[in-house]
Amino acid sequence: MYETFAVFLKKLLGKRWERAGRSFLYCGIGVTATYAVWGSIVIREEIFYLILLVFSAGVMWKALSSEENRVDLRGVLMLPVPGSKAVRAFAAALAVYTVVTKTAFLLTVLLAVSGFEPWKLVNGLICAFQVCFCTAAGYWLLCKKRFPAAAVLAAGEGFLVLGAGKYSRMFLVLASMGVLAVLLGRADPCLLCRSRTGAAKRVGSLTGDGKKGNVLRYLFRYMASHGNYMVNTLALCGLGLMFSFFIPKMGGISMMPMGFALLSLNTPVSILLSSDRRLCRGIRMLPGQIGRFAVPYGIFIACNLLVPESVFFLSCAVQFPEVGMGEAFTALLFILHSALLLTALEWKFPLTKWKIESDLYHHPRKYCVPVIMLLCAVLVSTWPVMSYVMLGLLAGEAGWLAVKVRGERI
Amino acid sequence: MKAEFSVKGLTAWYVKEKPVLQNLTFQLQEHEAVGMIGLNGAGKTTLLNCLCGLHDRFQAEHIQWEGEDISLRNPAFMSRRYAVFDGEAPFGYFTFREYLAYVFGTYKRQVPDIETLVQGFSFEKYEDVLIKELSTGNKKKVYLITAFALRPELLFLDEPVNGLDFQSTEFLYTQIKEYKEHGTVFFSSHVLESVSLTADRILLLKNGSMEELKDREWKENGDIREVLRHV
Repeated sequence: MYETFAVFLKKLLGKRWERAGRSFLYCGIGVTATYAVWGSIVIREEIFYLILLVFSAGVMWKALSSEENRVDLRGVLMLPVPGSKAVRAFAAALAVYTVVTKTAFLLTVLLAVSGFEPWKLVNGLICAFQVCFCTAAGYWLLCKKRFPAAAVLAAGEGFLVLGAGKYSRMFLVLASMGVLAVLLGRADPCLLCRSRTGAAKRVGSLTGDGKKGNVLRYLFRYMASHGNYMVNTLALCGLGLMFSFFIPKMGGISMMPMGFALLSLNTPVSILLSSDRRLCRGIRMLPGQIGRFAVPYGIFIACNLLVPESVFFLSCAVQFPEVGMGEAFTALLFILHSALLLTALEWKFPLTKWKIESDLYHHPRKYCVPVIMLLCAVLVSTWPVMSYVMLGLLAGEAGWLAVKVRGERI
Repeated sequence: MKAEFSVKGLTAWYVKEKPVLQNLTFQLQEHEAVGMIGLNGAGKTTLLNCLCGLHDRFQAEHIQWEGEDISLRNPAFMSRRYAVFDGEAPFGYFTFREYLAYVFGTYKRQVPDIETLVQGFSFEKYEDVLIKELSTGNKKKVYLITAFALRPELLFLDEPVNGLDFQSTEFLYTQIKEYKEHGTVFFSSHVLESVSLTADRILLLKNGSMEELKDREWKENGDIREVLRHV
């Protein structure tokens, strides 16, 4: 089993586990930066472990459902390796990957913010590993459509991590890892590596009157096939709603641009091209794709940003009667700017060197546009006339885009 | 219009110290079918990637189209060539018909009657299925049908035979032979029969450079293996 585990881990962390080294470096940088900037705040223990639990489970789930990892598992299953060992090795490797490259950073930042305690670090790491194994077991149960069992597992996990006492938690977590190892040993590996594509079925071609092929339809169909897009948009709507209640504490409606800027952090939509290498190549192979694909892609991003921004705007409008057309105009500006910048970033600098989709979701590039928009938000909040400067910039960007589209015309 | 395409002194690499293609020179005349063969790892796909502007780690003395130096990312050149790569299925969330319409809209042409092509490749049942849900061979047919319907002046095919059933393979050979009426087709293949039955010329990619199989015996008796033994 160790050889199988090492094979999976080599693929996830690199030949010499260089990604683990980089991850620890980022942890060091994160801790130093957090100490310097943030200071210290009190985080309740339940919140501390809840953040770790949800984050680790989310990353692990993404890793389990990654097509690349399924292909690797299928490759191992073709060899004379017992299925139970293959599943345990697979889950263990993904757990190590999740904790070392993703959760470790979050854990060190949380500890830096809330005060470093050695037992918290050890407890946090062990809980993170345990949550990953639990996610793997839950994933398998859901593949088998054993929904009640999966619900019981989730409830048990919630109690274990959140409800248990400081010392009993460690004991219970370690004990539960033995139970999860037995459960994973019984998992059918074929279920875990089953491809998502089912039998081909006719959908009806919708070529339209112009018979030009509709990129927006393509993108919305893509979005409908990926549940995480919807989940992400819903989460952003929730964030927008929550943020609207913080507006009075932050200084009133002049702080609304900050909300508009934060809600431009729509990761799945902004990495659509990077996540589909074949589509990227297909687009580069064809002529005239700035006009044919990039512009509709920008419109698609704008439509996706419109939903949470509208929720935020409407929530503010309900709470604060003075919110009006000026704020709506600012929201529109932020949506269009964000869409344009996200499209340009994906077009000119697609992320190509990723191993599993989770790497894309946690790539630092996703913060570029929100940071730029936050800076714009600070300027607009301080000097409202900056909105008109942004409008001028937008007009300039649109003009430049028109020149680019014209330049590639046949 | 002429489809004369000339490449001189092309060197391509993934790691600069170990070039895959070295000082490669060849020409494609108008209205001809040229086959390219070579061992695994010889650089056939790398060459086609370079010619389609998908691999930018290369340099060349010159690349000319109709006697004029061109950039392979030039929209005017790109609009007169199309490529089908092996093992790739872009635009997976389009159906075949939608993809066809998209490509023809991109090239600013009207979609012609493709019934013959669809029947020839036995693709009738799959026209309205999402590309991503098709089998490997059917995915290949999407792009081959599009290529032969589009009829660009320069058509690049990377291992077009791979994944096709025997009936579609025979139809593909017919299409390649007939393509000379419309333009030039440059294709790579591991299946020697596909090259010897359809190509006017055969280029052998070996040790990073290209040489033409001058011996015409393979054309007369189809025994390309005999010729390759002496290369």
